[in-house]
Amino acid sequence: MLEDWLGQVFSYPGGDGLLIIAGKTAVIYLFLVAGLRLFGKRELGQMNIYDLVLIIVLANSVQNAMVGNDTTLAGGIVAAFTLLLLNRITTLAMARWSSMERYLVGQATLLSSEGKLLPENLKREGITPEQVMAALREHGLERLDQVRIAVLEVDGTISVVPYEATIHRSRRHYRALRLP
Amino acid sequence: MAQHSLLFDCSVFFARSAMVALCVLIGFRLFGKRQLGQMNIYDLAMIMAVANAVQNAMTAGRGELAIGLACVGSLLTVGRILTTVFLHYPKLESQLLGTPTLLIENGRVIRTNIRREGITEQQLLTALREHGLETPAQARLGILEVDGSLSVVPKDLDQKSRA
Repeated sequence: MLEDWLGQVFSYPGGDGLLIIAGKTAVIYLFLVAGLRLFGKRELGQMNIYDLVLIIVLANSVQNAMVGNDTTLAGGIVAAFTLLLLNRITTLAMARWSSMERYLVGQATLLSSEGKLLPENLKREGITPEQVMAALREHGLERLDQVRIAVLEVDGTISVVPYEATIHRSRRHYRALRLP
Repeated sequence: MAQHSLLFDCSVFFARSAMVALCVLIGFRLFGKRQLGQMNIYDLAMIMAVANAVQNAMTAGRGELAIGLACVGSLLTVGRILTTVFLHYPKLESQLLGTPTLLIENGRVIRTNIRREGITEQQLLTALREHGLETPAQARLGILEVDGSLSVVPKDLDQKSRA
């Protein structure tokens, strides 16, 4: 009875099933990265709810391609680790080669420098002067000549560096509250 | 395969889900759990794909309501137990979740830490600009927190205007 139970819990695919799952998952990961690059939107800040739905559906649609009808514990875990490993490699590669980062996640754009807007950059990024001014006001500034630089970051936010540093904004990520 | 009682099956799937949860937690810890704060679209797709990849490992393709409930119950139980354990043993938490990493000290960028954490030059500069600074030299401290966000402590004001 116990042996049977353990056999059902710690199941694994026979033969080279694990290798096949790892291989298929690797192909899926590369395909996902390439597909999302073509999709155009590259950072979460620019995503709306439809993009999110698309990502969820995308992940669902590749499920069978990764693990097939393999229903073993080891099979799923191997697929998960393959994805995590490849993602880690991609991250490290982007940190190492900035050209790869530029290609995959894009580049920050200078919108205003030494109190003057840069119309060409604004136009290329589809940002209106009014949006830049809104970003200034969010930082408690009123006029462009108070600003050393304003930059459109790759996550779609505009950051503002004033001449006199009085404002310190943090990124808005907080750790979740713990249960008592 | 022999026919088993529903209770036997539920206990099997409870245990399988718990194993999956623990393995995925360990996996995220090993492979850069730190980037949560700087997630890009590829990370999001990866997380969703991981969730799907382990689905069969938990449910074995069985659609009975009781088995689904056993899996959900198992995941929630694991989460709750971890929370309780971390509350009582904060040391264990720092080992499992990692500790904050120093990236900038007194205006000097610590390259080895940056490389190890997989932080890009652009991410570091973005964090600085979000805190109203332009170059690493203007920061007294730059720290990668365990939740993946980058905290920046500027040097004091008169120093900054000279910089």
